[in-house]
Amino acid sequence: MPKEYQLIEHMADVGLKAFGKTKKTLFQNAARGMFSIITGSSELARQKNQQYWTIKCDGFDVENLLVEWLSELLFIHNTDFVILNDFIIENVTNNSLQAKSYGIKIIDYPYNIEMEIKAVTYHKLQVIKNKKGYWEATVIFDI
Amino acid sequence: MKSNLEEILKKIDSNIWEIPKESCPGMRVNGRIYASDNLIGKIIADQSPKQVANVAFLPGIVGYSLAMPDIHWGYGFPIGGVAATRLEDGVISPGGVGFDINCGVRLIRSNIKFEDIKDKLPEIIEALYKKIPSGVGSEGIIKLNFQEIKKVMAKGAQWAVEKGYGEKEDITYTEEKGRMYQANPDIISKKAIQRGLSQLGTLGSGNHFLEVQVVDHIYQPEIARQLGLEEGMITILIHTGSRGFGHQVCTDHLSVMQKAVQRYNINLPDKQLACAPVNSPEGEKYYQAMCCAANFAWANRQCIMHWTREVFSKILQISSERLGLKLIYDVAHNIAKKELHYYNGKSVELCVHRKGATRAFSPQHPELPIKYKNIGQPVLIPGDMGRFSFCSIGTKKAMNETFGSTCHGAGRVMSRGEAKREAKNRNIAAELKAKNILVKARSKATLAEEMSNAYKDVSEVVDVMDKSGISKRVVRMRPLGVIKG
Repeated sequence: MPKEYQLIEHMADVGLKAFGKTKKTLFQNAARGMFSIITGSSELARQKNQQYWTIKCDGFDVENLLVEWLSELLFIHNTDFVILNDFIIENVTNNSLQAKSYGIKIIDYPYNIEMEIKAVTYHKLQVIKNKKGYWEATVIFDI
Repeated sequence: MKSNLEEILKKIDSNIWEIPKESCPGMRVNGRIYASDNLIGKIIADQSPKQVANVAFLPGIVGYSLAMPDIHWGYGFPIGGVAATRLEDGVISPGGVGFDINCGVRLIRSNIKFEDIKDKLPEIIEALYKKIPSGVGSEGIIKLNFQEIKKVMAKGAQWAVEKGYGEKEDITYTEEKGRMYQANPDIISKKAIQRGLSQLGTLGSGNHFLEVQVVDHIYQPEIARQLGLEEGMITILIHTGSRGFGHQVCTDHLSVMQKAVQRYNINLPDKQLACAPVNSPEGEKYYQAMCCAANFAWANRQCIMHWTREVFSKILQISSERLGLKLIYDVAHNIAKKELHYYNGKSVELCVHRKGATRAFSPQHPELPIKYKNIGQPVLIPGDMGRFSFCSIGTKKAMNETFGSTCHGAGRVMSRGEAKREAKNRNIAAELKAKNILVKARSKATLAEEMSNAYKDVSEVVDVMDKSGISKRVVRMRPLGVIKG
């Protein structure tokens, strides 16, 4: 089983390779990877009674859907001032996704926020199923 | 494209390198990079010339796919890239502007000499740090509602001045007078609005900063005099952009452009270059939305300047007027503009993308304020927080060679991760203090990422543009105190 995600270094930006046995785990791991960049890898397990957000996204292909999904999470992070720390993908196809994301208010978050991600880019964007049958995604963020 | 950049790049002048379009099928024009022999090595090392070649794929591109000496690897466009496209059959690309629409710089002069405030400097820096919200997700003092933010989008810096954040004269010395009239707030997404509501008047994080400086070298005394700058004078440099509002505008339109690329059958080597014909519905809407974000950024820098004046006035107990805190100029360095240029023997309107590049209009250009008509447009080039910043001036040569554009800063040589590892056992704030530079930052990580050796030496970058005759150096400023996110 490959890692859930790994970070990629990029001159002015930072990227992520996410892996998953299924498309659901791939999208989940990509989200966890993105928040690990924001929090400097200080992951926090979901606590009792955490607030959650219901998310629905559409994309014209699976790569566009990944950008839409991560952009939606960034939007919630930026407007509701939360760190999202658990992601339940209820359903995902190549064109749509339904999910629940649990989050904790930044003021209640026990760690520092390390980085501001401005946006999810399309640069080097790739979602593939590799030879071993695992899903693999590459995505670069603007920071 | 062939992988050996050393072989592909042809030196055609002492500071100009070309990428022939024949080196990569699909390039419509040659690539051109302004760099010294020393800088070109660093530029090749980060592979960014490949991105210069990629930009040359854009339909309707004219002249060259250009890059300034501060070029470094970006996403889609290189940072430091300039591309002009024809309006009738060319494209507009959000990737040629970037997520931080109208990220830019403003320079403020003063009547204060370094000696006058030497002892008060720590207090001033502390007060500025308290007054101006900075850091990840910083929220501003100004609370907007849906109606008011639309006015900000439509009127830019002029909105800020009307609300009391500044003086009428500030508008005169802002690029586009701080307002692009093509802005159409009605097409802005609810999401972008929500992100913008609380972020006006905030510095943000990353490489954004507010710096108190001293003019420490004058290269052209007469032009410096006309600008109102003299040796030993305190200046203030503000570097920020359109914050989350601009990021969301870009995100919204990149998605639209991905589809547009298929619809208009455009062949591109990188999805982040996604674009649409300038005159298509997608292209026009992006431009109108980009203008809204550009206006938001001008309002943002205007508000921050206003509070800076208040802080100086309060700490020094002298009125802002007597302190002479006047705006020298405000420039955008992430923007696309429809501009008139003399090209192929005639005057044509082109869409000039400047992604990490600064406008550098020549003397007599109609866009310049009367005071600068005879000297040209001030160009503001911030360095890293441990080294110098520069004020240069635009030239006729820039109009002829680079669509009136020049460099915008130092340009990274280290990724943020590399910089953090390099700084691991160092105290960057203490190192700067030893160089008599006070720094206040919300995050230690930011200090590490932004340390001097993560960047090229800005003096070298500015020197290339000066020797090339594109933008001529006027004064150099040395940092005294820096506020970072």
